Amino acid sequence: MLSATLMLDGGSLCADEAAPTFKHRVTGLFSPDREQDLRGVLEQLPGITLQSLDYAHAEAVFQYDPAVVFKGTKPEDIAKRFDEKIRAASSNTFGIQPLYLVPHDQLKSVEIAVVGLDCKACSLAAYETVAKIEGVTQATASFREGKVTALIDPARTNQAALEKALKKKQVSIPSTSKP
Amino acid sequence: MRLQLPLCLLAGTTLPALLHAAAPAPLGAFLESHCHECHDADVHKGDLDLTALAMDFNRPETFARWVKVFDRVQSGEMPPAKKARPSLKQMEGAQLWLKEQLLTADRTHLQNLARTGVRRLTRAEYENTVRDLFDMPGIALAGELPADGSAHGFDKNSDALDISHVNLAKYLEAADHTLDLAIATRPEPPTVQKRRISLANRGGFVAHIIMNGDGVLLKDKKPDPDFPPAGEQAHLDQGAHERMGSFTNGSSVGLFRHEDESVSPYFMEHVTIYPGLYRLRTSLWSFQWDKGVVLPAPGTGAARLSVVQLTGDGRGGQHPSYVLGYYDAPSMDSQVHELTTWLNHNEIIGFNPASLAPVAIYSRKGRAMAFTGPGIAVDWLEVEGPIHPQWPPAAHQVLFDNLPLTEWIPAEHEGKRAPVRKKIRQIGAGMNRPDADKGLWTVSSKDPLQDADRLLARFLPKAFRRPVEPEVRQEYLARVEARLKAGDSFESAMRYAYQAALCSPDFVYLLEPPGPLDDFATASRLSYFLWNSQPDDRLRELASKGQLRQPEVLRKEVERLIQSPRFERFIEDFTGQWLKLRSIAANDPDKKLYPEFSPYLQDCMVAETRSYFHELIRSNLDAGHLVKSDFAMLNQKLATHYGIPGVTGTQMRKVALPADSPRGGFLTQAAILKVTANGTTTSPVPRGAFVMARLLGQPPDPPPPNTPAVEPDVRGASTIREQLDKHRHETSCASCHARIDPPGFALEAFDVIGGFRSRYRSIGEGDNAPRGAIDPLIGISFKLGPAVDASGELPDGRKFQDIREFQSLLVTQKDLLLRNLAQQLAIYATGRDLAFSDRPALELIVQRTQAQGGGIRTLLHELVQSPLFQTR
Amino acid sequence: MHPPRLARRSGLSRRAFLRGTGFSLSLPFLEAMQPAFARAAETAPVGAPRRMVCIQTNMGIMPQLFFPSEAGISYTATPYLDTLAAHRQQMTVFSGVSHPGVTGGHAAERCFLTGTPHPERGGFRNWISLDQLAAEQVGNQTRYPSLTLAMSGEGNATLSYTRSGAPIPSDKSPKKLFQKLFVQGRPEEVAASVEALRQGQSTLDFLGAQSRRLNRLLPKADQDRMDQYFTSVRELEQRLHSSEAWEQRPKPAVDAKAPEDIDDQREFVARTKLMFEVMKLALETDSTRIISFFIDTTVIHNITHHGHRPEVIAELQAKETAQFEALNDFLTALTGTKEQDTTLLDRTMVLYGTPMGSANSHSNVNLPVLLAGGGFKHGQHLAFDQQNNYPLTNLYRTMLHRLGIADESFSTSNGTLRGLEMA
Repeated sequence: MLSATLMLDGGSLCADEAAPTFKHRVTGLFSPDREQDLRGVLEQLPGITLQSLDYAHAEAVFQYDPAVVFKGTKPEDIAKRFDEKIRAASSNTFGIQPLYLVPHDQLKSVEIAVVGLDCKACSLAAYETVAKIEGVTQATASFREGKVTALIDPARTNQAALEKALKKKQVSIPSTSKP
Repeated sequence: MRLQLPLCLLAGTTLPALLHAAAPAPLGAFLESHCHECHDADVHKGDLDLTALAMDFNRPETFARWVKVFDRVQSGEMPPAKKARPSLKQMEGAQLWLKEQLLTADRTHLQNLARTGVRRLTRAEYENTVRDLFDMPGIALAGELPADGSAHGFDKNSDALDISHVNLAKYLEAADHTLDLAIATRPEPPTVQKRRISLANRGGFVAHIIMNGDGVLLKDKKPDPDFPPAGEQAHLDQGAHERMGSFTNGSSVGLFRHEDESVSPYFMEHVTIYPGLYRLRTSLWSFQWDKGVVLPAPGTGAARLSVVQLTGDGRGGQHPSYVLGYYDAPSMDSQVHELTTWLNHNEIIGFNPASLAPVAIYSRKGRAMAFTGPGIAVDWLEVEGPIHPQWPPAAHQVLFDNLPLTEWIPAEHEGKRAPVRKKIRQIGAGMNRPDADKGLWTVSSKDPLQDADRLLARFLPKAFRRPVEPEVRQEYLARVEARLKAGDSFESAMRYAYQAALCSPDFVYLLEPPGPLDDFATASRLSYFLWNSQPDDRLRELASKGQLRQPEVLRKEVERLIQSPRFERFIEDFTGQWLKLRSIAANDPDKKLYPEFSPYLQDCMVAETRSYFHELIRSNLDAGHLVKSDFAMLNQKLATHYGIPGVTGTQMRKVALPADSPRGGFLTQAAILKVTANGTTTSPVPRGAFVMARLLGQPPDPPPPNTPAVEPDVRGASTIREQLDKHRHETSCASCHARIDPPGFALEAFDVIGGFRSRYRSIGEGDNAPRGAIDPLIGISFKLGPAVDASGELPDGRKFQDIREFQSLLVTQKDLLLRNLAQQLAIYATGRDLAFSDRPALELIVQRTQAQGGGIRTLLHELVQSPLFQTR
Repeated sequence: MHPPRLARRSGLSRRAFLRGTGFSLSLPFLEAMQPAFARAAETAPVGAPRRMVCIQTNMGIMPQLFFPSEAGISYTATPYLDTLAAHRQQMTVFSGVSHPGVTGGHAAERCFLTGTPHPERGGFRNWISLDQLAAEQVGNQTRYPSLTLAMSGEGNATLSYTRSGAPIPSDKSPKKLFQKLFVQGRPEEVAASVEALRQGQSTLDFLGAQSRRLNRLLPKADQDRMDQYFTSVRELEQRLHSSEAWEQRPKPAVDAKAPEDIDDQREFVARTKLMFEVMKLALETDSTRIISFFIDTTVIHNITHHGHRPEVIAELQAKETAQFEALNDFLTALTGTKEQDTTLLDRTMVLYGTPMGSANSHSNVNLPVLLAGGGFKHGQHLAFDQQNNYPLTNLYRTMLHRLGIADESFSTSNGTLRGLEMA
């Protein structure tokens, strides 16, 4: 049985509740209303609750007892198993990723104007296009507002790379692209 | 003026003996006075030298020539109008003598001959027979069998029905397949599954085209708020949309795009696992789309459902399929349609918004948000089945009665081989799942040989359509016994015998005793005539009681068969051959000249002709209706094509025609006009020949050898009529073409797809063509060329200005029309050509029909009652 | 020495064979079982086998682009023959030939390999086709006595007819053909096949007995018809028997992948090429030595009625040229395959023609025909009388001779083809 204070994948915080809490990076939070969707998905995963959400950094604190919810899973595999569970419950629209190791203040904000259908699934598509690029730690997409934003690690990637990926995915970028 | 001999001369039952064997004097004198001038050794017009033609009626070639002479004089064609008329007495005397010679010679020749050659079942007959025998209405067998030939216009003739080792091999396979489907392999029926599925299935192509704007998602008859229609941009990433549930939220699918070489909408979420009956329900409606707004549709649309056979290979759209039907999609009003149909392994339902013009929105700027035009919406398709009213099903019980099904435990069957079970893999992404495997179940028998004997005694007479001698049954039983001894299970051993039975000549051939048919042969002949299949239980019962041939019983049975839904098989099979509907798809209309053509229109054409013929029988109308009528069987598509207002919906219904309408009668039905033309042009010659051969029963002689075909000029420089000028001016051509061309000229008023025209369409020069009834979304590039001249002159000198006048003239030949139809039906029903000596019997049928009003239903009755039908 | 007509009852009885000790696979043993095939081994030439491929394209070939104006060896190649220029020395072009009495426009399609007159008349009964006659004689030497192939859509497009005049349906899928020729059955499949074949033969035996029983009860005229059933039973039985023997032998290995069928019927040239490829493999591996191939170009029927429109004639020419290119590729492939000290083309006669002299007039005289390969002195245009055609069946008789089949006549022939000598 794991101690409530064990550090796991991104660290845990001390909890005074019965179940410990763990912070993970969440993929799929491409707009604010996705928090509601996330809660809905978690209802399908008994024993896991959302304690708090840092939308700007796509990090969330979950509460669960690994011994119960991930019984039989090795500690180093728990995050992966959580990822599998949440994908299965959300038709692969949410995922659990390791926390990005670069401190927040070293991340750069990027905003790209885009044009497209005011469609949630299209926003998901645009989001996924940039979110999977190495060095992108958080992103949002909204065709209603006409923009894709992202927090990137400038050491790993840049705005041009994101624009290139979006264009390849047939996303319309009105401003001329820079090399 | 045309001379017609009194009908009494043709009644020909028995003529007074003193007219027989008279000297050739009456004929000889007649020939000399009226024929030798043109038909002698020097002149021999039409290659006929009557001075050299021997009066030898026993040689087939001479006999045939004399029949021709007889017919030409009889119809008044000869002597030609310009020559001196023989006196009636002269004519009668000569004709009577000649006729008697021909009849006697023919009867002698055919005496003791079994006239109808023994023949095997046609493909369609075979398939229907198996379907009816086992009550498996949709098992697919005909496609695997080699094609049948054609003789005297029909495939129901031994000359058309060869059999080769390939047929035998296919019969063995077909029997195997039949038994695979018929034999129950589980103790209870498969679980009935019922689910509603969407056209926009996961991973499917319809979802893809909706993303790109060739369709939209609709909720509550408005665009789905969660799925904006494709506009300046298309949707991104189908997978993302599927994961977000865009296509699984119960929205309706609205399509703008008709199926084409790239798009075939399929309902992929049901892929049939268990062959059987399925209940289908679907909800359809139509709308007008205006750049994002849903409005009432211009009219009722039509959607097509088809059955598609997935084959694991072949791209979408190339899978073999057949049409289930066309269904109304009323404007802004969901209509639910229900039907029950048989589905085989791996069959799915296909969809097409059939009434839409072909458009492709995905490639246009602004896509759906810039499009104005009609759409067809499908809310859902519900599939329920397999439906089994009883278990084991009727098919199994035909073979095994109610012997119990038990589980095969190998330990209990030492030394025996278990029955084999074939596993059919479900192709594709069906949501319906197979039941859990229940193990190996098979029919069991405590007394195999006795059960086998009993089962064979039930089955063989049913399959062979007549009582079966015990010795024959014994031979089949011996086979079962041998297989049991060799270690087969009861099921496998019986299968052996059943397979042989289904391939034996007793099953595959129609066996009739020579001379008058017995009751069983009559039952078969009757059911293969009116149902294209084996006799049912009632017919069998009457036959076994020896009552079937009693005239009143027979009359009742004919009525019963005509009223049955199975009668539709006769309508389809007979019109398919008599009116050449089987070749409806032989030519593709040129896309530039006939852009309004569609497969939907083609299917409607065939449906029109079939339902018209059915209606003539149902209402017992006379043969004049073959060429002229005050009503037509139409649906919306055809009515629009013909310019007749006020008809809505896909169903065929009786429509009263305006007084001056040329429609009405086979002559002016689109299907007939299409099968007598090629895809580009019409020609009076094939159309005229069709009218003469198929409607009037006067097939024209073939053209002289090496006569070049005339190639119509679609550049619009000259009309076909002008090109056929030679037909009128060269006497060697005129003799036949004076009869062939006139009907064709009248029908020049109709194009290759049966549309009425007063000017020819051309691709070259011409005036701009008005749109008329052509769908507003179809581009028109053809021009209007020269005017159509549909006037003509009949051989007897009567003239007509247009098709309506021609129809009025033609309808006066009602007796020719009736006689020809009688002849066609007789050839079809008896499986043999009519000989000269059959004419009296045919004449009697015609006379009796006319005496009762001349209706076509009456004709069917009279034919069946006649010795022509009841004798082999 | 003339090979005998198909005899039904000579040779060892099948039962005796099955009861015999063991089951020998040696060829001579089998030959004795099949009386009709028996003598062929004696008359067949020694050395590399000889083969025959008969091809018909059914919608005509524009004559003005096919027939050279000069006869002999120095003829000027016409546009279509130019496509085959690489094989000029390996082929002979014919003009002024046709089948006597074969008329009826499209109906003549059925008679290209049979020569039976008047297919358009009621009661027409075809005769045995050239390839089937050859297969009867030499077919038993290979796994498949013959292949009947077609590139076609619906319907019964076939060049091959049995003795009783019944059409033999053709294989239309190159992919299925490939599988049939080269894909091994698994041992349990083979065992199951052998068992199925034996059961099939047993069933056929039973059916034969049933038809004999019926025949005794039928009037004379019916007996002839029922005879067709009986003949079919026997023929199928023989085939199953042959198949059983072949079932035990492994199929040849080829260094090629199974093709994917092209379903779009408008791609008829590509579909033709695909079939040609599998045909070449079949010949190369000696899976068969007799092939008939029906190229059904009904899909361009519309443009053969060109109405004198120049752009349509140009389109038709493009399509027909593409067909000749496909033929050229086939001949090239055969030339490129060595067999002992010759090429596969040298040992394979390739007949290519059409049943209508002019699709325009639907006339059945002056048929465009050529013969490539097979071991003849080629390289010339043999021009016969265009007003009074020479029988094409004479060519067929020559072709049978080339295979070692010395029948005195074939169909309407009155000799062998004048001017064509064996090399």
